[in-house]
Amino acid sequence: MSNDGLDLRYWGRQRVTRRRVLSGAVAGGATLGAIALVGCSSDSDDGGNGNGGSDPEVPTRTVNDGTQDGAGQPGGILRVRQAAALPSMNVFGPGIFPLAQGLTLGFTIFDHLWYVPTDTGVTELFLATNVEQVDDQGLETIVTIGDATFHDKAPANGRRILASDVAASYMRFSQEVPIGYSWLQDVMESITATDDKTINIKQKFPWAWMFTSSNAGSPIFSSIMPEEILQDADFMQSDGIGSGHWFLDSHDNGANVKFRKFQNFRTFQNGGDITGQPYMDGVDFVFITDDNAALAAFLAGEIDTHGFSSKKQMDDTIAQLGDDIATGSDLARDYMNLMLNMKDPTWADERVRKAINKLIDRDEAILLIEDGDGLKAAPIPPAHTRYLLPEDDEVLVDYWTSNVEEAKALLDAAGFDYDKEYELKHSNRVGDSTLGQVLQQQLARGGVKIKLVQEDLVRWFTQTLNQHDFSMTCFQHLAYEDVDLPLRFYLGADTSTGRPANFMDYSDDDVNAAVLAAAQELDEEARVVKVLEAQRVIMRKAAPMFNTHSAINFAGRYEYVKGAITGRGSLGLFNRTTWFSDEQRRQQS
Amino acid sequence: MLRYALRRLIWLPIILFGVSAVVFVMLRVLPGQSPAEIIAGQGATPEQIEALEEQLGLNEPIWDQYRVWVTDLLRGDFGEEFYSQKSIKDEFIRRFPPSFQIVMMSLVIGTVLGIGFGVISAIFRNRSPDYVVRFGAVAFSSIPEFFMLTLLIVVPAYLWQYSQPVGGYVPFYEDPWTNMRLMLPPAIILGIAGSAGLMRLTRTTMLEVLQSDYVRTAKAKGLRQQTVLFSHALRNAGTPIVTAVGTAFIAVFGGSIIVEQVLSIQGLGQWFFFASLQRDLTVVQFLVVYSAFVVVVMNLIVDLSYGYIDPRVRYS
Repeated sequence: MSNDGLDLRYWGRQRVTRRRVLSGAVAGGATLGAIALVGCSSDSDDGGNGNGGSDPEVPTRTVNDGTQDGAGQPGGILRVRQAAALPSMNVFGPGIFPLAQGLTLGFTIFDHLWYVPTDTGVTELFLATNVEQVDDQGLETIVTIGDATFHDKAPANGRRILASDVAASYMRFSQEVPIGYSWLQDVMESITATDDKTINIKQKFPWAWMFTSSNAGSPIFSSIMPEEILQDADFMQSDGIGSGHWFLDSHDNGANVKFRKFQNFRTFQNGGDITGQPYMDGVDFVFITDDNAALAAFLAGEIDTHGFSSKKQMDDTIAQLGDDIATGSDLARDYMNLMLNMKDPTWADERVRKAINKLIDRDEAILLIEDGDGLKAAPIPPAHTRYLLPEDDEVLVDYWTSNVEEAKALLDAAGFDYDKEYELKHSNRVGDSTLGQVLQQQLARGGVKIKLVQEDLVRWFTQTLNQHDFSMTCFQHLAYEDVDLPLRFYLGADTSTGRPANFMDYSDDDVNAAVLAAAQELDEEARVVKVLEAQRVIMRKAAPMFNTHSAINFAGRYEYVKGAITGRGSLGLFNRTTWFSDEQRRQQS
Repeated sequence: MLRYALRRLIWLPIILFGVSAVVFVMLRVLPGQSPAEIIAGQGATPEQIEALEEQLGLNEPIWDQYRVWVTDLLRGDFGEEFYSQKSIKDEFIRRFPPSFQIVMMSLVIGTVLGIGFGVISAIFRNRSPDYVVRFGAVAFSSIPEFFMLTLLIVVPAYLWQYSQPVGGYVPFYEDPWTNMRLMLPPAIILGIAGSAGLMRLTRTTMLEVLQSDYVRTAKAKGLRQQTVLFSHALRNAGTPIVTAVGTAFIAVFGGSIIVEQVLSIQGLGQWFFFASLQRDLTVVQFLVVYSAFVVVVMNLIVDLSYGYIDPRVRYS
């Protein structure tokens, strides 16, 4: 897993903030709440790869499906960190903050039709028992759901899940345009229940990632709820009902959230029998806002997992706890970038954009920001291994090669105004701030004067980024589960389909064509080729979002925590297969 | 004295009115996005934002907004948080106890240590105990509280694998042991940090008093040293010390923000911190007015205590 611990409280942390990444794919981008919550979700999952006391130099990329430690034993409560309190339990609103709730509750109390792990890219059926595309264009899909019930809470009172609940849930999310779920609305023509168990989904046009974790398979906005509560904001303010493996037991005003095992959780998954899952009796989110306090709590055994802020911190902890813990490293799916806005005519000249990219020294950035623990990023971040260009790819080599002299020549040829000072806005997250400082120094080598402008994260996100109110900005993207969003960020506006402008107000016919060709290619192998080609086009055109790198994350768990799913994207955050090998811990509740 | 107290109390609403008006206006004229835009989120249409502004009353003239807010406040309706729509009154009641406990424990510890070591330092002027106490005072007042709090967490964790209780505040009446484990160490740190200034002031004031004629007379009369020190000297040195205690209370009040943040305590300080970052105007303006109320009341208590400490003080 590439994620570790929640940081809506991202303020004031550097590496930890950087690692507070989105556990599931999220349309639209980061929010305060999201960043916060992710941390706690990821802590709960990222237990490392079992190389206790070892000294991993590179991400292990080990894939564990949860069965690696043998048969799970029932009992016990997993304790994970919650770094920020949830403002409410309502996943629909208000505003940008529901992302935090969505991330926390989407992996726990809500069930989904399916999930698409990143390692295989193949849909794993959850509540759905059969999915059939009934036309060649992939525009109509029939989904059949199995027998399952909601949690035994009023007003649902443990009743059976109907196809109409599924359709109504999707529709409810698709109405939440302000939260950033518009893509579901844009691509999906309709979703209807044809009988109690059958759902018909129609699309406006083919989209390869329509059912992946970025869209209709999102852990956040494909959550299934009883129809009765979908419009009941008062109820959802403090409670939630789903059919997930945990039910919401209690919370202290959004903090110290406690989930307990749903005894009637469905027993089927992807054609198999999952009777007994989840193995644990529940999960306690322990409210710890301070990073040092979180580390202390882990050292003292007050929480079972921890995301380290650096490799050094992990090594220090190993020195303290030895074989009592298992640690591991993994390449993050989130990634840093520099973005230029085309509303500033300075960046209209392709030569200027190429020069800016040539001035970025990605190796140096990794060294300065991540202590060397990271990998360079192309338009698709390095964690998405199936879509990576070979490192000797001619276009990629040129894109990644920093060359100050070449950059200066390009700037001179473009008549670049060296006297002007250019504003580079960034949020007050320490990771973003550090990236800004590094970029300022690197661009200065080419004579580009940068004035750094730091903004509060909420302001930066809601106004600067979302209102495209910047000339230059740099930030950390969230951790997307598939390559849909990383690629779609380059896609320009289209008034004929209502597709909005991207953050950079950038649109290039060649780039648009290449991205759309990839996104609408339904054949897996052919799509991989088209994604690679789209990246080449993006790099050749110097599209104004220059990804720099992804970091390597370090995480640890107590050795008695077994059965963690790793290397499969956010699948492990569901925590169904985790169990305790320690009898005493299994008895604690 | 009663008339003096009443006259001071008359000023209380006037001061609160001034503070609330300034805060209310300042929060609304600050540049940046309106709360409605933030709440509405990306992709919200101007109509949606306008509807939200109307719902929140943000499209009314600023003085109308202020009038409504003050009227509600006087009726005991403190409003709701912008983002969560939780009742501010309920939140305040929930968050007040931990903050109050931190402030009071820190104040008591700081006062006892500050006055105690100040007296010791004065008695042993220019001798070893005096040097030790003065060095300690300079050292503790030089180290930032957040650093001390971080050490409080990190050092026991690495040395003994001990952690402060996690998961937030536990009331004393529910679990005294856990409550003290959580609250006492930071209260000591805040108290020590706040005591440094008080200690130096006590020392200086005591030295001055100890050299006065009536102390010499008391000693010559053969009174016990304890009586001379505490009944005569310390009481006469009390007026500036009490003033300093009042100031320390306000400082500790601010310090609780850091403590609550570091120790994950959902108190008033943490509430203020997040509300400020999220531009939750209703919460921020309520807490600023509450803080002003506390400061004014604290100053009144300090002023009134002068008459008790020094009978020569008359409130005419």
